[in-house]
Amino acid sequence: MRYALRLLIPRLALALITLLAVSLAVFWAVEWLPGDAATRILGQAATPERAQVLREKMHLDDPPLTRYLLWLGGFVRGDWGESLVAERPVLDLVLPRLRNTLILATLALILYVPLSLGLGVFTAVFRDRWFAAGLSALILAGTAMPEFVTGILLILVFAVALPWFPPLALIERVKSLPELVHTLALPTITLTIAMTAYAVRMMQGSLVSVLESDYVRMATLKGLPPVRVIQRHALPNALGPALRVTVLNVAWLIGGVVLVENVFNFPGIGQLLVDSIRVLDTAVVEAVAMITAGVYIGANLGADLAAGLLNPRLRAS
Amino acid sequence: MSDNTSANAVVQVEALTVDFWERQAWLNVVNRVSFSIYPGETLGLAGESGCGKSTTGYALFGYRRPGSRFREGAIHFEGRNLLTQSETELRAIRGDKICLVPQNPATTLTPSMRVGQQVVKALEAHHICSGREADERTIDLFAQVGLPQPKAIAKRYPFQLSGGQQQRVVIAMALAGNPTLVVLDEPTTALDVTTQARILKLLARLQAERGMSALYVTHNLGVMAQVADRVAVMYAGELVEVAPTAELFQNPLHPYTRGLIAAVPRLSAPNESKVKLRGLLRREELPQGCRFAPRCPFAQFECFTRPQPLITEGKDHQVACWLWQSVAEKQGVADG
Amino acid sequence: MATTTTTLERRAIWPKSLLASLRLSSPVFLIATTLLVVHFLVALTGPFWAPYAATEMLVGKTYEPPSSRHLLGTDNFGRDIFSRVVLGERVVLSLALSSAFIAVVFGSAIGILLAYTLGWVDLLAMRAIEIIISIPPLILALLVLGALSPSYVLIVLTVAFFYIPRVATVIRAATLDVVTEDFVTIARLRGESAWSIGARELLPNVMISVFVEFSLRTGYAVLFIGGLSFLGFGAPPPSPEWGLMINEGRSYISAAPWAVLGPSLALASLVIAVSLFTEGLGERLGLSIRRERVG
Repeated sequence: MRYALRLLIPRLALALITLLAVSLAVFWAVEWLPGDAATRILGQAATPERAQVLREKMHLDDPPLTRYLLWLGGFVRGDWGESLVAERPVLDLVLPRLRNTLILATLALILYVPLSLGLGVFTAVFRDRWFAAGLSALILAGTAMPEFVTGILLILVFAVALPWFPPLALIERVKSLPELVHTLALPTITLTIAMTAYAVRMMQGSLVSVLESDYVRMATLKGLPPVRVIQRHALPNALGPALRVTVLNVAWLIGGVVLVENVFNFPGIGQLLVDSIRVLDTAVVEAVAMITAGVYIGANLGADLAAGLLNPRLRAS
Repeated sequence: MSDNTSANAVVQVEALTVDFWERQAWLNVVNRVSFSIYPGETLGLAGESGCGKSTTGYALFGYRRPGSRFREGAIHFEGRNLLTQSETELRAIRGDKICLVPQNPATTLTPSMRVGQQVVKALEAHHICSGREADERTIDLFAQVGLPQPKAIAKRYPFQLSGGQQQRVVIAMALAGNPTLVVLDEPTTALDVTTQARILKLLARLQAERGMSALYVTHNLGVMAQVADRVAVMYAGELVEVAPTAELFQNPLHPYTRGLIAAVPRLSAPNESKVKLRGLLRREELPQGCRFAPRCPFAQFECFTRPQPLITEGKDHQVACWLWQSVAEKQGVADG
Repeated sequence: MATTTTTLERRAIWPKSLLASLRLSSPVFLIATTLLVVHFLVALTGPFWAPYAATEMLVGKTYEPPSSRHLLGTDNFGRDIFSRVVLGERVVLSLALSSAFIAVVFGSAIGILLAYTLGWVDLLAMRAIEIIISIPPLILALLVLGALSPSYVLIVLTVAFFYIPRVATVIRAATLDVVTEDFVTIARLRGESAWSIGARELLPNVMISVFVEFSLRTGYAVLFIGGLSFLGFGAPPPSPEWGLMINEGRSYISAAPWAVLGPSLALASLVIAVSLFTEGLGERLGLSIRRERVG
């Protein structure tokens, strides 16, 4: 247990510092916006008096550090400010979007876990066959393909050419679970392809070295059936890297989801980020940036911890 | 032992030839190796690293590593040719009738499984027993190999055991199925000298108790002298000499064997080495004839071109050198 | 990189021996390299033989399907897609290569410097780099590019900025292997300045890693810039950048799917070619490529 804590504390501290750095960076980038925020918001209705009033209300004339600390204090307390565009609390805007993205992410992960494990084991076990090189190249193509291209191609084939799935993932209109799956099918598949290809490539090395290890050979020479050898002797020792890769994939999901949500017009948190940056809706940008950065950093932290904890030397003690 | 004929041999290896696929070509690693192992005896397989002895040992399981092939030969065991058996048939034999005591127990025990489980699952896989009976049998085996507190040990993971304990576990695993033949691949190299001695004593006792045959693969002649009844010496994938242990050490006939034995440091004559082994084994430079010729101090021109089969000299002594007689005369009898 | 000579001798690994070790034995690597060369040739020579200009709008010829005059059809403005794809090659490659180049130059300099100095400077710098790497690049890139008016220069600088710390980490690790060798110590004792050692002793020996990183970053940059352009934060219209073309073609995908297909396939083929090439390069030069996610 002490070992786990020794692993956790410094990394947690670093993660928090990083999060703070992100908040600073985002705040600073937003600060940098040319033009006066107040006039921008008021748009046509801007008069010098109204602008001044708004500026005071938004503390725009205070020194930046004060504003940053004000915002940070509020953020930590759960007050995420108001959206300039929608004139609603940011929280109200963000939560449903977050929920949507989580649904999509969950579906993708459900599909990804068995697929990546199965494909990973398959490519490792059959690495000497004639089709191995071709399969490997195919998987590499899967990692190389940008997600938005994969999404677009899927739309072309399965929504335009063959009208099997809807090209736009309009989740709001969904009323039942099967309908949900059908609507979200294409974006889910897009995400899954990218994650699976990456995972299989990353796992290859460790899986193969496990399969070629002395103890797996020993298990074979003990006359154990091959399925058993893979199941009880090979896989448990390859799971460490597999878990790490999965957590890294979750971290990636935060970035990848932005593009995929955009392709399918999916009202998730990624779309919200892009839209809010586009119109420079500062409070929303900051909130969403913190959430996504938080997940990204948290997932990376998780990957590090998982790698450390999966060592059997710790499980026993 | 001299009454043994191939009829009652436990296993008979016939002209075994193995190639490895390396650097876009087939490289010969074992060349027409033939020997038999008789009931209750330990045959030592000696030679330097890379001579093909481990490959030969593993071949007894019908096992070849990926990227290799059995080009020729047969291995007869219980009326079957192990080299032509299907994987399913081989699985029944491996771990049951023919068992392996591997070289490095630290890497051959699965790190993620408790050691007791590893034995139990092997027992179950071979339908020897299962469940509670298997558990008890495992603990019993652990006790037989001299592990203190076998019940506690069974629950441990490999990394929680010392080298000597791991080796005993591995031996227990090999004995679980009461095998006819045990193949030992340098089982004591990874151990310190004291533990090594203890393990060797254990192996001798167990073998005597159970009447198993054994193939003992090692490069350590000192261990070989203690353990083996007969010794087969390999060089560059070929057998160069086969003889009962005492006979081999007292009267080595092949120049290579002489060199090997002379190279073993002895307490009585620390700085003497009448015959040195020159040079290194280089696979690319092997001649058509005797493979040892490049390093042989007695080599003549014909040696390089004429392949050397095993010639039988005397009752049980075989040597693959047509000059053995003149060599013996020149050398005198090797210092014994 | 085994050596049988003493480590007192410098082992300089300059580009010529690099090319020598590129024995094109694997068919996959061969295909990838060929494909890459094709892409390069298109980028270099495209403007000379593309049938139409990138912004040339042909009146009355909107949404035309592929034909002998328009190999990939036309888009909603009546622009020939094939020409745009060909001309876009130049944009995509120059953006990606510039970003990668800047990132590798600065990143390697920092990496080598840190590996050589070590001490608390290195400690601090590495913590800072770790933090910077942990920031998801997409968010910050979108912000910077969204706030300022997008231009090619801005894109290159932004992307390079994100890759510099990553390159620095890799090259620093590679340099650490070399820094402990005898010939470096001797050079230090000779009184050579840090710059001299860096340039003459250290750099040649990590050249391999530098080249591989360059190749790797180019691939990632193509993806990153493509994605940014797709979202509308990258190359400004009417640039024939492929990500942007895909975005533009999306709105009328059912009417004219070829508008999206052309740049999609071009982008996919380029990225795959670069990836396979980088993999093959790394293998041949004995390195294992750490694959990180583009995010």
